[in-house]
Amino acid sequence: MAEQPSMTLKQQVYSLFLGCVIPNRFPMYEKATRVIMQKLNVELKNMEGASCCPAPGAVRSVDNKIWSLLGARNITIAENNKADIMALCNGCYGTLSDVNHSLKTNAQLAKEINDDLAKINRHYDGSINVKHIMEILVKDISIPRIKAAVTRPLGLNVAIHYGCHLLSPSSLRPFGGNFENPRFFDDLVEACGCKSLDYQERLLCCGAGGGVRGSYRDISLEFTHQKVHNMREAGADCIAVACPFCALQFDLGQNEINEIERKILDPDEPPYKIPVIYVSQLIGLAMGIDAQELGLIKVPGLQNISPFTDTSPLLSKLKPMPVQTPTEGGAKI
Amino acid sequence: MYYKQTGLKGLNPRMINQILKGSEEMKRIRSCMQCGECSASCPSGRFTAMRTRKLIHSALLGVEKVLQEPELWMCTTCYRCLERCPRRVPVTDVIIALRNIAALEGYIHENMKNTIKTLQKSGHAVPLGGPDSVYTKQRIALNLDPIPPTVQKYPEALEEVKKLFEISKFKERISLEW
Repeated sequence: MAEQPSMTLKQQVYSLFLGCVIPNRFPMYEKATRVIMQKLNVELKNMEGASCCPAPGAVRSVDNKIWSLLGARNITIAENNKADIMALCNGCYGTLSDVNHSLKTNAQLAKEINDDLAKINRHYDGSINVKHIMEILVKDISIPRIKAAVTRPLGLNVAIHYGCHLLSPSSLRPFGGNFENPRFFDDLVEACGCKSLDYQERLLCCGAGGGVRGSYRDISLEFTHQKVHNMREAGADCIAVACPFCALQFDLGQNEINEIERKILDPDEPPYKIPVIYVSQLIGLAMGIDAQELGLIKVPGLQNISPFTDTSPLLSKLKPMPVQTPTEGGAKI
Repeated sequence: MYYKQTGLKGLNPRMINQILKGSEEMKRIRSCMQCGECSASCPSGRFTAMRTRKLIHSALLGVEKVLQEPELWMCTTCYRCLERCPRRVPVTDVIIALRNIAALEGYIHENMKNTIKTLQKSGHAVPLGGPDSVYTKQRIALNLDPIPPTVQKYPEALEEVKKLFEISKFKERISLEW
């Protein structure tokens, strides 16, 4: 039934760009990514000494110059690794990919940036590409190869949130023009044995970007409230995301909606408790990896850490692991 | 120049010139016909008084007051407007360019100022908080490197980031009340 994973593919290597929110607030996404990439025979090189991408919302909004400069410095680390960047966050991806594009296409800008980078003994060469983990999963590794590694079809009803900067500006993104109705995340989720739910306004922004969460949290939560409302109406078991900032906005955001918004607007509205799952965790679960290993179970004894929305309803809905027989194809890589 | 000759107060033709310097695509702003597709597509406009069409109009005319308006900072940069503009104006990029000008004039939200200060000091907009922080403990429990291999682990890398802030004359150009 499942296709055999190709054994002839040469090992793929990427520079793992961690950013801020993943290593410092949602480390389980880093863990899950490292675990599944090892299983998929993908090598990840650390980007030693990388900084914040820097954040498109707070930093690009204030000063394009420092944004380009710090972005370019991060890219030089991957150039020294001689491996394309794997970004795990839509914001990091947007920044690094857009800076890379500007520098590759604007010689004057590249010269200015290189004059500044020379003062810290660095040089931007334009020798690598910046990729989002979704692009790597869907295009480089390919969905059939992921499907072949699935040993536990999950049977969940998943509300997908693509996140804006993964799709737009579509002229600079690898998924082409169909930004109004993309399918690649749906295909990936379905490869994991889940149903991707059609829900109202599924491409609506989470509300966090552009510095809005930082500056006007109540406004950002209006977006989130609308979105989780529509997801719940559609019967979502979980929200699948490909960005830690969207994840934060849904995960912690549901608590914030429950505490503030809901009480003012509609006290009778039941509280929001839809578990949030990152793409690497979803694939990991479908590969039969333990939920604990993927960080889906909250570390006991620590206060105010992610996940903020209880994931146990999601885990209890999982189909039990099928009994493995050694003759079954495609189970192990 | 036209606006200067008419003597209208609060209109600054240098503003649009500053925006046009950004990129070739920016020139398309001149072809904006005020159709309102951007406002109709804007999710923030649904929840707030932000009107993207008005921001673009203000940018074109050089209405300086727009730099002080909180609506300028309510855009989540979701890019719906840019994707759907029938004249292919890079609407989101115009908003960001306006924000850059506002920042030069000193109009930056306090929280955003603090984020940038944190970035300048630690190399991260959202830092780990040192070896004793709850997040370090979370990393240890997940069997990850306690300190991620970023600027947080390599002090010489953090020095590079600080130096780039100096080289770009960030403090001289943008007042964050350091």
